Amino acid sequence: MEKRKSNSALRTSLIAVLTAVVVVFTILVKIPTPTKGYLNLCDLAICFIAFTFSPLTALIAGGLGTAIADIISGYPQWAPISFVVHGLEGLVVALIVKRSSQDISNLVKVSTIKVILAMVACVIIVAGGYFVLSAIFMSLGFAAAAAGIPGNIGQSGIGVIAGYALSRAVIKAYPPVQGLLNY
Amino acid sequence: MSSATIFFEGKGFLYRVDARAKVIALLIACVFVFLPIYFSGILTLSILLVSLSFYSVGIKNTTNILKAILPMIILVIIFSPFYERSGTPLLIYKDNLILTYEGLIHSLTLSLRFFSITFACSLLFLTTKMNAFILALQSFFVPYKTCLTISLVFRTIPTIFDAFNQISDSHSLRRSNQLKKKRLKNLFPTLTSALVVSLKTIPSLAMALESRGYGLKTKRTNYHMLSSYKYFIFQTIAIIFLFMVLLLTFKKF
Repeated sequence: MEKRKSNSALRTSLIAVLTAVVVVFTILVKIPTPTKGYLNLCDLAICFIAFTFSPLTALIAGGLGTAIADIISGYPQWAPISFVVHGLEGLVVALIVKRSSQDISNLVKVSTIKVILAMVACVIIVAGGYFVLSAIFMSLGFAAAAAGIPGNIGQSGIGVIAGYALSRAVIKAYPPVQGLLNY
Repeated sequence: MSSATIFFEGKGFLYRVDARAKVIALLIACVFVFLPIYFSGILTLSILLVSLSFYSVGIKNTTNILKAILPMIILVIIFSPFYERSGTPLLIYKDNLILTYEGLIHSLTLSLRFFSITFACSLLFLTTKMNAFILALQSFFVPYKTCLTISLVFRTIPTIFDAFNQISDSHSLRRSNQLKKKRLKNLFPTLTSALVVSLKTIPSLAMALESRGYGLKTKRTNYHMLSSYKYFIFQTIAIIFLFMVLLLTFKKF
């Protein structure tokens, strides 16, 4: 029998399902903003993934999920920016809260300092990233791009706290997820 | 939610263009609007895109795209002129310079760039089926693993969406007549349950992939194929020629 790359199918399935989760969370709850954009639960989903799985999974699922959600929702022009900003958000938050192999017995808890650090990093990346990239690459100019900052700060800040709470709840409710934590 | 794309069934001009050529056209259009060209160049491209949109996806879809970006364009038009203070004065109020000609052109250029990028992206996804788009990505040497993941995402979205709706309905049956504030709080158990249901699908999806030979080193075959390279090459040359004409006509350098 020919050799297969170990757990390649499981990793691909995990990334695909988590990306779909990000898409569903993004398009499910929409709170309209004055600029005809919308606030959503994407940061919650991305932070849940970052708190629960590996940085690489958070990077791919966060970036790809929000980009696909933009395409489906009829805002395809934002997809490349969302891919970069939310991918980076997932990666950085996951790297900050990453548990060492010794901590694996205590999977549910993450120290308060790490959560606060993750929240600050998340807010800076999302609000700053959208501000700079939309001003430059979407050609909105810095004045118009600044209109999105307050909404992004609120959405990403709440997303980290709620994502952490959701991660704890899911690990408690479905213990077999621990077998996927290193993916 | 049976389909997770914005593809609009139609028979217009853009539906006959190869998906690979459309992806290339989108990339060229996005680069073109940032090149040093006159305002009239971006205006011409915008008019061209709107005409294509009318002809390919109809008035309703075109106005939908317009409606979605109008508030952002209004914001750009209102705020951007204040950042361009030099040039020929157009509007002065009590000795204060409000608007210059250069400021107005700068603001309109920014708006039309955003407008063109939005229309180009929307037209690609309105007129291209997702499997054709993924095959186009594959033909541009995007790895098979990445394309498969994107396909799986589009296949999984409706399943998770339905699961979420079912869980949400069953949770709401247990607590009717609740305040909106409390309903928001109760979203948390619904999200937790939906996530658990989603995570439970991962092992069976992985097994399905393995049973289809995923991970083997042998070359994979495709069930669906794009049309022959002949049309793609011809259409790509036509697109490049069109943008070259636009660039040479409206270049600033």
